[in-house]
Amino acid sequence: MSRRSFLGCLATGALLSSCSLAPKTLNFYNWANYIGETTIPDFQKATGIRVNQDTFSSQDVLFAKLKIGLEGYDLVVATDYMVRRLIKHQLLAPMQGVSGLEGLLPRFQHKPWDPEHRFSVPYLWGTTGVAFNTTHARPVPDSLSVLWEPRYKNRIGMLNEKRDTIGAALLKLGLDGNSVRPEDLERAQRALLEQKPLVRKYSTDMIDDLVRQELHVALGYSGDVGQAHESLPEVGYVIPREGGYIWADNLCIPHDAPHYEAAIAFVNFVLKPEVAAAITNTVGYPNAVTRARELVDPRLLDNPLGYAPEQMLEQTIFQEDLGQGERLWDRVWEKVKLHSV
Amino acid sequence: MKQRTAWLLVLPMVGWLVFFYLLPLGAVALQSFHLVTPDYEIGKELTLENYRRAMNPDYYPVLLRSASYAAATTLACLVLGYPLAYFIALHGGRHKSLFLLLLMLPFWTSYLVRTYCWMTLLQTEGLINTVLFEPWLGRPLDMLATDGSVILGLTYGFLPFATLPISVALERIDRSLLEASADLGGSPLSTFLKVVLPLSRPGVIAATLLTFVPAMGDFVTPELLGGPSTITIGQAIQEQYLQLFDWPFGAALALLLMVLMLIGIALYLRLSGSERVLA
Amino acid sequence: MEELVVELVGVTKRFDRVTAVDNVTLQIRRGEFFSLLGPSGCGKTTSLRLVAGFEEPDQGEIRLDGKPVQSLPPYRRRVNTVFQSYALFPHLNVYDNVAFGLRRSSVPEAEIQTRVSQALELVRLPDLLARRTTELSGGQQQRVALARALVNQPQVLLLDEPMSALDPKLRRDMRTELKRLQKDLGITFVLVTHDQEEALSTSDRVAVMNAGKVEQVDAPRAIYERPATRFVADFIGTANFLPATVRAVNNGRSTVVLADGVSLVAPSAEKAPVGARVELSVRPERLWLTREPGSNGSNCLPARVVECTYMGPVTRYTVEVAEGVRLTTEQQNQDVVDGYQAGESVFLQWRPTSGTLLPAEAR
Repeated sequence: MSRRSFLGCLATGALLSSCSLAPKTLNFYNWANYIGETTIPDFQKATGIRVNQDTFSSQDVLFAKLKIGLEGYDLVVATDYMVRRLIKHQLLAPMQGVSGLEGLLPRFQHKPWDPEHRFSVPYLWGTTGVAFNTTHARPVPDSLSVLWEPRYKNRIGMLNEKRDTIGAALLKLGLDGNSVRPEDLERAQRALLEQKPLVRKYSTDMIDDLVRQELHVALGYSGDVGQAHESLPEVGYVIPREGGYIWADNLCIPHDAPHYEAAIAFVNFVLKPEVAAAITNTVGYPNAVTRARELVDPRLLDNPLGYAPEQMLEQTIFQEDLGQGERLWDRVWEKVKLHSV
Repeated sequence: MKQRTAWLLVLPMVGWLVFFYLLPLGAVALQSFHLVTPDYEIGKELTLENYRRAMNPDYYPVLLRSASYAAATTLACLVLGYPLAYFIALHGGRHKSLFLLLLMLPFWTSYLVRTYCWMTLLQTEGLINTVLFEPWLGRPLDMLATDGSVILGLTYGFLPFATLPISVALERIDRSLLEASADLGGSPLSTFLKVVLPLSRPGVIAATLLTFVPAMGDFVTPELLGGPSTITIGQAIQEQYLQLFDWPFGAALALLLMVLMLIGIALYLRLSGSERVLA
Repeated sequence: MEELVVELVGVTKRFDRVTAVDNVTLQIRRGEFFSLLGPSGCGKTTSLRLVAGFEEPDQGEIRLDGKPVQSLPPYRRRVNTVFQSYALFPHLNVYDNVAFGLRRSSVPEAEIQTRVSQALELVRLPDLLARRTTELSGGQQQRVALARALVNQPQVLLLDEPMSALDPKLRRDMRTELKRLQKDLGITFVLVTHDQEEALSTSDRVAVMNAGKVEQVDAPRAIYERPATRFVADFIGTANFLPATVRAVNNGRSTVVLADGVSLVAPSAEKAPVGARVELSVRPERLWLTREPGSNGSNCLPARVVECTYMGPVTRYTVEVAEGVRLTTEQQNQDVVDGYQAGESVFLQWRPTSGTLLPAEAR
């Protein structure tokens, strides 16, 4: 199951129960299947704090819930550009008492969305790139342009996430992946409309489709493709030569969190190398704790599906907050999705 | 006094309607007259801009497609549901409640899960392809992400909604009317055409509405069984709410759809002359 | 020999374990008004439905016009039915209801128009053509149902308790109307009813049914005056029964003896030979009370008044003629200012011709 499962969104709508008000609890709002197998029981054993986990299917749902002011969440998982938006909307509480920040991978320290780590601590990270099935996609792709090739008609998957899919079009065209220039977006829109007849689906849950070979090439998240690879070894992944996105999911505390102390305790717990490594070994996404690297499954090292090699990461950029320009992206996305082939 | 007590009984219902229907609807309506700010806040000033934007020709094919899906679904539900209802109501005998139970049985499983099952049946390496098309045609058929798969999923989902009201209407037909028709020389076919069919019309009308209206706004089925070119108005609205975070515009789209549907329903009821039948 | 239009020969119909119609044989003549009379559950409606074709017999043969029809569906039988509930089509107006049968047999629309008008005129409802049937009164609905059946000129018109939903006054009018229609049209009517007055006043012949069997088929007067069984005597009107034994049969007159030795005289009956145990049945209105024993050849029994009920035109008395043997009688209140009192000793008299001998039924 993907961290962004449509099913998960609809099936686990229930909000936290009354126990959320009891002392010694932590209400954690996370992607589905995005935590270690024993992390929660281990944390409870260590601290006596009970964890209620609720899951969302997209960052927009997370933003909507926090924006509406649904109280009760103590700790949420927010992707980098979303952290900036949450800060801007003053929806986060400053974090005090977090230790181990200096042990983070340099790549994830002092990022522009939260330079002083006042509001966020990196949790897991990954990249957006090209997934392929080696049986059907030959030669092995290394470029985003494979997603525009007519011979894969009806076997191409794109992410149902405007940042990734419009971004992929921009990168393919050799443009800035965070561009808000209307003419750049205009070109990206044309490219996506041209591509649409070839696309099997826009989805954030690609794992099953890759495994069932409904898709032969797709835009995907490294860890998700890694899970597909576990089931079907023919599934591979590359950060395309035009470039890809790197992103980090961060732990943040909502400004109205009822159990602030418990949230801080959990953040500190997760920053422990052995805990972080266990999470990575379960979900396949790398973590940002430097010393955890030695403890993770060696198969994930120097592997684009997990800890991608440095030279590959050189080609990646972060998704930046687009500011007012995001509306332009919205219009492109609307146009692409509505377009009838 | 009696009258007043009767009103008290309706009070919870009225309260329910106000709090869970009218208030949210009012909020949605109000929202549709604001603009979303670049910070994804809901603006203060009142404007018709969202409605102007909704007239965008990009939405016409989407609306048309949704209506075609709903119409095809309704037709399929009637064609499949009528004989089923006929059998249950007129020949169900003492097993009638068992048949109705069987009809409702799928409801005990989440609609989502059932639709997911269709995905696995229809996919390239799914059961239907491996058992039917691969041996027969020598290659699998692309059945998912087509108009057909969406209509199939919708029909599957709404079949009970079509069958139940028809079954109820058929059950309410006085059996002696069927005998009277036969007595007057009506063959089984003409009894069906001249007596059963017209008398089941309230059920057919209810079935049509219960199928068409939700099928028109459905977004789960096309999301799961459809593809890029099967986007429906329900999905477009959902997209505005959950992906693009433009709630006011989503609200305007939803309200326009609602008004369109209300006009459609009113026209349908008038044309089918069913105000009297329903009354 | 009159022509038979409907015949049931040894017909049996069972529902689960209940035998609704038990080896019934009936013959209905062309042009007669025939009634099936009996209490509810006696099988009269099932018999009618067998003729109409709504039920198939388990055994036996049903003939219409001499041809077996038991395997023909209703729409291939030239009979029409007036249903107890009228069964008018609620989605059609009066005209279309009446025209329904004609349209099924593809009669040209122009002819339909004439025949529907005629039929409605016949039932005296000419002006309601466009009315919905749900807007009609019960009486009007019944007339439409009649017209809808008659317009097809059936060989036999079957009427299933057609008047049970009407109020008593309307029912009496309708009875006359039915009789008139049947006379004018000459169509065979078969009426199912549990109302004896209805059956007796309309019919040429009546079949009394009980527990799936036919007890007696006869003209109304014979049914009342000469009931064939204790059931018929009891079901039609009221009857008094005196258990007795036949002592002598002489020239159409039988002498019977009661348990206490008193001799009585009654018309002889085929099923009551000398020595047979019988029941002597006498209608209450044929009995009269006196204070002195009679001497004019009447049957006479000493009795004691047990109860008297003043009912206006008549007074009803219950008298006891022997321990546990009670009879009722009704006396016209003509000039008797003071009737008999409870406890008074009286004499109960009746003409020998007023009695009927019935074979005693095994209990």
